[in-house]
Amino acid sequence: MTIAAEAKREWNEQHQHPLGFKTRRGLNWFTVGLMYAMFYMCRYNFRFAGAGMRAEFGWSTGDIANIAAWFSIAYGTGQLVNGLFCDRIGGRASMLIGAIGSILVNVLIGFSPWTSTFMAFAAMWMVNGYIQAAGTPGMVKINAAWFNKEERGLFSGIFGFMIQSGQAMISMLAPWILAGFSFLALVVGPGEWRMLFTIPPIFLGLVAIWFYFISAQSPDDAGFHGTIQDDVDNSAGTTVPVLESFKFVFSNPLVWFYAVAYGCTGAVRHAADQLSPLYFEDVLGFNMKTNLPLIASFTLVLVPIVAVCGSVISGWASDRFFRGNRYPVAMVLYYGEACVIAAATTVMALGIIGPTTAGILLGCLFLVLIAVTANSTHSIVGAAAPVDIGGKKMAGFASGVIDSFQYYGAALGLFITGLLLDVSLPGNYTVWFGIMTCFAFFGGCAMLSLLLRQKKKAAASRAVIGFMALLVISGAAFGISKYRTMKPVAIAHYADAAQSAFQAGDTRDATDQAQRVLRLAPGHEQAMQIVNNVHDQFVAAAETALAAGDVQAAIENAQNAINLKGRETPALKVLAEAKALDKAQQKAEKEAIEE
Amino acid sequence: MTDFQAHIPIPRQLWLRDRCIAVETQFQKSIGRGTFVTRFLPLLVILALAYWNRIQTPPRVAGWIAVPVTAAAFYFALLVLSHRFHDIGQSGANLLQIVLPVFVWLWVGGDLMAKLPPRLWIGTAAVLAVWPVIVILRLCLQRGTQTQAA
Repeated sequence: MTIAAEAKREWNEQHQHPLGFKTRRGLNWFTVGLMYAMFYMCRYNFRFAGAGMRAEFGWSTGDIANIAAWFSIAYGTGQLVNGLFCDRIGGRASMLIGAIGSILVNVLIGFSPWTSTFMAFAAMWMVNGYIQAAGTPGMVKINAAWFNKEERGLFSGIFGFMIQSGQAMISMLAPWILAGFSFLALVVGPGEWRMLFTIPPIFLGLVAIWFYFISAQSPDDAGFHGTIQDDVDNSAGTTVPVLESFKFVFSNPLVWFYAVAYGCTGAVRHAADQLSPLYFEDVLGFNMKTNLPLIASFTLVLVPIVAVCGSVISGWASDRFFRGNRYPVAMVLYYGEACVIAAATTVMALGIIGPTTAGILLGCLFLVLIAVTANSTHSIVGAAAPVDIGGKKMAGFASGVIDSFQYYGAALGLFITGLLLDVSLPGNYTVWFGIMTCFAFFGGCAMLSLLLRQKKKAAASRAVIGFMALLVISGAAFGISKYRTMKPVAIAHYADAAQSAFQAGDTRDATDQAQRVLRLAPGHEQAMQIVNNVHDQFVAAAETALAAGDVQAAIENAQNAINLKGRETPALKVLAEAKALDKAQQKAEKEAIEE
Repeated sequence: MTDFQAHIPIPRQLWLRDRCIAVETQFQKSIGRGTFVTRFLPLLVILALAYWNRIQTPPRVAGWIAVPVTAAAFYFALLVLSHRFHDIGQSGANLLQIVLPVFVWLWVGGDLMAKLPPRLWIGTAAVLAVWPVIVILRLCLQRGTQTQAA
């Protein structure tokens, strides 16, 4: 008998569940997963509302990015705190509180006029981030009670699918809402971004009601007693006092190994997700806004599919062949990921990736491979490992701690990548790949160290940790010196490019380049002059358009001026006047139609 | 407090448990090759027609008729596949080998058809269809262990 067949036979023998259990578990998992996907709808709606908010309130792109960053910080911190309380109140209560809170915040944003100020909106969105963070620990805790250790890998793979499906749902719903629709007596015009905060909560509310009636905290609550075995003693129930959970999780070294590794997953996954549209435009020469090439469409379609497949297969493999141990599979995946991204770094440095047929194919292939490996580690380290560590009792907090590191890792990774990309020459994303390679390799080392520790090779494990510390120090030293070398070259290059573009009359390119220079060297004289000149042109154009009654042109030019200089511009006044005029014109048109 | 005392299921949960047992019992049976072919192929035709109807603009059959018919046909198809897998000595969960590629197509097929030229999306569909077709052919042709013994 082959090893695979033997493993399968053993596994099947150990997992004989009573009749009806698998169906009940499937129903429970579907309900919990659907609820979690709905959480995503009330969170990713912000992505689609950004353009409308910018147009209505005159916020800059930087303001929108700041709100998203604050949300991430609130979410990461919420994972820590809510995870702790989740172990006390149970996963079901945690998810329901999260759902009710998120519904309230979203509806408040959708209906309240006072969310039009930047600080009010940012504060509300941070509250939403904090409340939303009750979802993951709750879901992980519920599922901890429903799966044996050797079944959780597959569950975590399906968790990856739930994330993708939540994003897919809001991606389909948002354009439909923004395009305008009518339903019974409700008529919504095009561009009504506030509806993005009022319609998704309806779906979340409906699913929360379904969740309340169908989901069960554990198999025992559903009438299947003693079906699931746990390493931790659950004879006194599956909820624990906050202090006990805190002590257990914080003093458990396994949590920290996984947390460090998961921070690396966050750095790679978020960098790949958030910067790939820029990579398509800057490196592969695609036009992402108007003319998306076939290969880009195909890659964007393929990425979520391979991500889900990778998650499911890695989870299943850790269940079947490693008796539910996640770290060997995670280690192989991290090192595999490091090899793939290192190859991409080399190919990029050699100038092979670029707007040629071979370059585009290679560039897209690397993105797909990164998606497989990053999402595979995301599922087994983020969803399965916390359950293995915390068991039914403390999975909530273990998940909270580990998951929060994903967001801190992402923030760190994006910050470093942003700094180095700013000083890179156009179309050169070598540092992007390079930084992702370092994080992937670091994650692999964390898992290697854990593997050695579990095999009772403490000295070797400590040696790997020492090596990791050396990696951090040498990486920081190398990165800082590289940044210092690249910065003056980049400033000179972009200042020249801005000047050439301005002289050629390409104001958009000129301001882009000049703003890039100003980010690197605030107060750079030549760049300031270009920005001021372009800003004055926009203000003048807005005033002229307003005087001529062309409201749309006035709004567009005023918005461009605001994007250049924030709120310290006379364009704000022009924008307000143009909007007032626009409203008056619309009202007059409506009255004329009614008459 | 003991574990048993901590978890006394409420009547709604017991009702759900009984329904799940009833559903799972339906999936426990096994059927032979001939029965499988006569039951599965008509269901396959109904599902194919439902998909064809879905991609028509506007659909030929109204949603309130098409959706329940599709759901019922899908459920019976799962049932028949599961029974046949049991007959050849395998777990009913193997039906995922057929369902998953179909699901992937339902997920991305529309996008592919809209964005890619026909040769590419037909090629993708063919690649996705290869394994399910092999499995279905096996189910139609392979001799069963349980029905044969019976």
